[in-house]
Amino acid sequence: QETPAPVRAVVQSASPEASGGKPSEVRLNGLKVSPGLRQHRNMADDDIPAFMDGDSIDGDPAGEITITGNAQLRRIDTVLKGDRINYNQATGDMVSEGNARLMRDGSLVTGPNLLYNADNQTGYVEKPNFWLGANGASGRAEYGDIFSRSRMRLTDVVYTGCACEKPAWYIDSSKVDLDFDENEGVARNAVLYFKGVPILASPYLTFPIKQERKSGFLLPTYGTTSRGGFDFSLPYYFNLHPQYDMTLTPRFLSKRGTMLGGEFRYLGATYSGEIAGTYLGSDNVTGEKRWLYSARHRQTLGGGFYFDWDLNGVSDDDYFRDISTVGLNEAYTTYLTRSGRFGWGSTYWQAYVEATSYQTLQDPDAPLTPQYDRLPSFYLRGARYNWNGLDAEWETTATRFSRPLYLNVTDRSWANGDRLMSYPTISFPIVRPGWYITPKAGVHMTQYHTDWPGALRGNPRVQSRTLPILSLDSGMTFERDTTLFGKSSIQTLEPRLYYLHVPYRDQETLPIYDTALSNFSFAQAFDENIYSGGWDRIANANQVTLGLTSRWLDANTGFERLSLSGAQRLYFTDQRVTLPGEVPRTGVRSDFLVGAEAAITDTLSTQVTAQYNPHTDNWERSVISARWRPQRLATIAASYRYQRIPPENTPYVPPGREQISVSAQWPFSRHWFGVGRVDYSLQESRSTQSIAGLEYKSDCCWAARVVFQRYAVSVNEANTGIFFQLELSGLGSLGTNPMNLLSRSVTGYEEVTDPVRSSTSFERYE
Amino acid sequence: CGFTMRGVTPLPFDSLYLMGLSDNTRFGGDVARALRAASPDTQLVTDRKNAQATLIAVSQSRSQRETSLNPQGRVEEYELRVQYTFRLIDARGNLLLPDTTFTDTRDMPYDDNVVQAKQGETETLYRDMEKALVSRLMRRLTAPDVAEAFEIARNSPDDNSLPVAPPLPEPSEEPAQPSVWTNPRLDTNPANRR
Amino acid sequence: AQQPPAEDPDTLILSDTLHYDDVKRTSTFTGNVIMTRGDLTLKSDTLAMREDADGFQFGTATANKGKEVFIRQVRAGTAEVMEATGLRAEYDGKNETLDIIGQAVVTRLVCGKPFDNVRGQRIRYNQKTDTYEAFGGGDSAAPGGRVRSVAQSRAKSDAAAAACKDVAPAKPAASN
Repeated sequence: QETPAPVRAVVQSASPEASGGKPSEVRLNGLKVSPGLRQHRNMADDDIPAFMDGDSIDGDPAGEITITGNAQLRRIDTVLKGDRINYNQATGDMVSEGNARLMRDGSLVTGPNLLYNADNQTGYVEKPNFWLGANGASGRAEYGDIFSRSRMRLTDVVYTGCACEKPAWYIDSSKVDLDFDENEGVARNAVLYFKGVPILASPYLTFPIKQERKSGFLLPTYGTTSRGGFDFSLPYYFNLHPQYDMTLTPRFLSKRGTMLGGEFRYLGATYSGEIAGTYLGSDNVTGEKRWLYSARHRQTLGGGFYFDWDLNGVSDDDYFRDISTVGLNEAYTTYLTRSGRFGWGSTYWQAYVEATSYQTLQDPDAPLTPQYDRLPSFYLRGARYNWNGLDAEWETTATRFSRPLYLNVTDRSWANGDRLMSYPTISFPIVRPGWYITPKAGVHMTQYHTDWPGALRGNPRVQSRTLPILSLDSGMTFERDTTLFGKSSIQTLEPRLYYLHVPYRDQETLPIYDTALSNFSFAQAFDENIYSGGWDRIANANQVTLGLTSRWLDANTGFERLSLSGAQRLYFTDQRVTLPGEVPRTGVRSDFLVGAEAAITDTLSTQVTAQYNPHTDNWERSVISARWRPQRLATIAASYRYQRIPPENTPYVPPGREQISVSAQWPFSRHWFGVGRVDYSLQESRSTQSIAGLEYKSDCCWAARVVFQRYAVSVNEANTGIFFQLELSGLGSLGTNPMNLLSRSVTGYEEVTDPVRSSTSFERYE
Repeated sequence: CGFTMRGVTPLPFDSLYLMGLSDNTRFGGDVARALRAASPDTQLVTDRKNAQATLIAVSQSRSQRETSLNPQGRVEEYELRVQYTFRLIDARGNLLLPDTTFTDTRDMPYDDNVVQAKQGETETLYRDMEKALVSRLMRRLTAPDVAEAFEIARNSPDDNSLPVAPPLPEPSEEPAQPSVWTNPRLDTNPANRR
Repeated sequence: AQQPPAEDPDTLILSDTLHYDDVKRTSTFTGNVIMTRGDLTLKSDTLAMREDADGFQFGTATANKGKEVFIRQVRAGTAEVMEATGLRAEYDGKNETLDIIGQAVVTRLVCGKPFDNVRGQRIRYNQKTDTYEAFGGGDSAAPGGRVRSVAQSRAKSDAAAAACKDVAPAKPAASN
């Protein structure tokens, strides 16, 4: 019998790496079962020896053996104990009388007496108490039948998946069939008790034995929202097949009516996708049908070919404002894409043809000009890096833009048409430890075939624009040893110079399909164009951007503790290319950008970025954020965002705002946790979004949370909601947790209940 | 004031294999170029068997999150996040650098009227973050503690004092996933937040 | 050496010396004692035999310090042999039982290969019913004064038995 490989502690910990000023959590996972530990099955079942131990043993050598006096019968896969054990070697039956204990695969069954046949792994036990190794479940029953290695039936059973002494919940059922291979427990006329109170009864209830995907009732969620009324949904999960599963969610909304939601997910070797939808027969408030559909699919065809689609739609513009998924703020959904794509890719080339259109959800108080549909768009991209020192890229697109009529617009006032664009570039980066120079040259060619609206009939139908784009990026790195916060560190000084040259081309009469002024930032300061998107406008440029960054790095691990950076652009020519209505830049120097990121301690990090306008001598934009995370489940993140109100009618510039946002998760005690977030707009002195939640985690596998939420759904309407959820760990709280709102909106939020530890069959060994 | 230009910071091993970092992506190309610059006599080999050490890109993800809503309830700012995890093991699987996650975030003001233009802007921001990540990865790889771990592993052949790297599914070499799928689409569709 | 009146199978006892006590009707053999009685062979340093009124023989075999009594019983009609060792052995002709006492180990061999064994403080082997009983105690061969037994799986011992069935039935080994 081979002994398992020695257990080696596997330490998996992410070193406290500076992450943009927010140190990622130090996840020391503690001891884990080393993958080397395996139960060796080098023995066929029928030639496993049996070791017997007792106060006395008698019997004939080849037939019946009786062990008396706290008898033990041990085999590589089974241990049987009892006051008296009778072992019939011919049949393999082992009968244990008097506090019998059977241990197998980490599970333990005890009872007054028990029969078990080690060879065909069947048996029965009266009044069993059992502890299952698979997931720490336990319980007691009147009678237990063991059918095989993986199937067991218990009658008149009390079963709980909660591994602590006084389990918080249990299932009382007349008959429970457990199938470990199928990972399924089926309880007949079962009642689910929580703290002794029946909360769910059903003639047929399935639940997972292990934590994996499992059919069964997901946890019901209760709540009320101002726009939907009392909201109770009871998702039911069908684990139809290892490759596809389905969730049906009947949902009752007191103000709206009863609706049915469904989601069908499928996964194959080369494809995967999901089809989801909801349907509300007639909305009590609006009287109409309300529905939503979403179908996504991705498939690779081999040889680099693939296709995918992403189709979404809703019945009306207000769907997401009236019927939001419990706990999720979906009200800000404005576009639902409908796209299909067929593509091909190889190491150096990527190509696809795609058709995309949008359903735009209008808010009458803040009308939105919908995006252009692209029916179709061709895309071809070639890229070769480190091609004996050269980086070559060539991107070519051909797109047919058309914007549908929207709201009450009858005749079209915008241009539709085709755009063909090709932009080959080549660069020759020379990188040395102390410096780098990257000259880059490219030719941007575009041709428009435009179908102008009445008012702009005069513009030429076919226009083209070709211009070279030359840039030189260079930088140096200087270092010196120093100390920071008492630790020996390396301080760097990294000057950077980026020269860009783009000649002027008259682009006044070119249509604007998908281009806007991009937000001035460190990334944009070293970019080839001040506009982003499809580059319907390419700004003329003869400018130098100077940047300087200084970092303090931990001498031993290279961990970046503090970095300060500044950048400014010097213009040698005026801005002659503008978007319609854009106010051209005057002045020779751009705004001055300042940035700082500091991991002051392993738990406290801050980040500051600001943009100072030297001409008007005031701050255009600033974001200051800090995050403090003293321990697990305790984090506070605060941020202040300021954007100066732009002067009158200057389009393409973000609107003015001044907003403070604080989000926190804080443990009040070992059991009580608070979570919350407030976004307060100083400009309008009101809160735009607020969340407050209280979570209770018991020592013993249940948690409850109640969350209050308020957010604006349109210019003058808001939605307030309160949600309650009971989470019974071990009963399979699978499926989407409606509370993932918390993890999306509270930075660093962590699940209160500790993850269900995967148990192994090496536990409970006596 | 004591500043000197940064010199070569040689890696302790002479041959290195990059796994999960194809030389034909922008990020992979930058990493390869930075490695050659930082440690000229470390050869980047194409076959893992004759590499003294392997740098594994355990996971690479780009994601985005709505960080603030305007008073009308519409998204006004996105936070873009890049999260790359690397691991360095020697030829025998000893862990020289445990899974280290580099994350970086950028804020991007957002406007529903120009979604497609903003989608283009996210590409610029993601590239800028990935470019900054390369130098931080170099700092981490050429740090003294990695060199020490390599020495410990080298001159204690049988003793397994170093923690064993948890097994990793062999990432298939040829790109199964078209790169287009790994780029998050900037639309507020709730379906992709489920 | 003398030939005491044999029951059905005759008992042959060899030893260095013999001391016969007519009053108590006991005979004590000492020094490399080898007793063979049909399928049963016993080796020890001393063997005290006595006969009761009805002619049943009783024997007690002991071994010097550091040595053990060895008993070997071929099970008629099978390829199996039982071997036992212990500090002392007591043979009761009336009940046809053989007790091994002190560090008692009984091993069942199938054509020469050991398969099962029982260890204890005292093991009684009943020749008539071909069964054994093992009891724990202070001086047990198994740890903790308990009784411990190892039983190979049925299939294995049957296979071994079948394998050497075609071979001529094993002759009792001359000496251990």
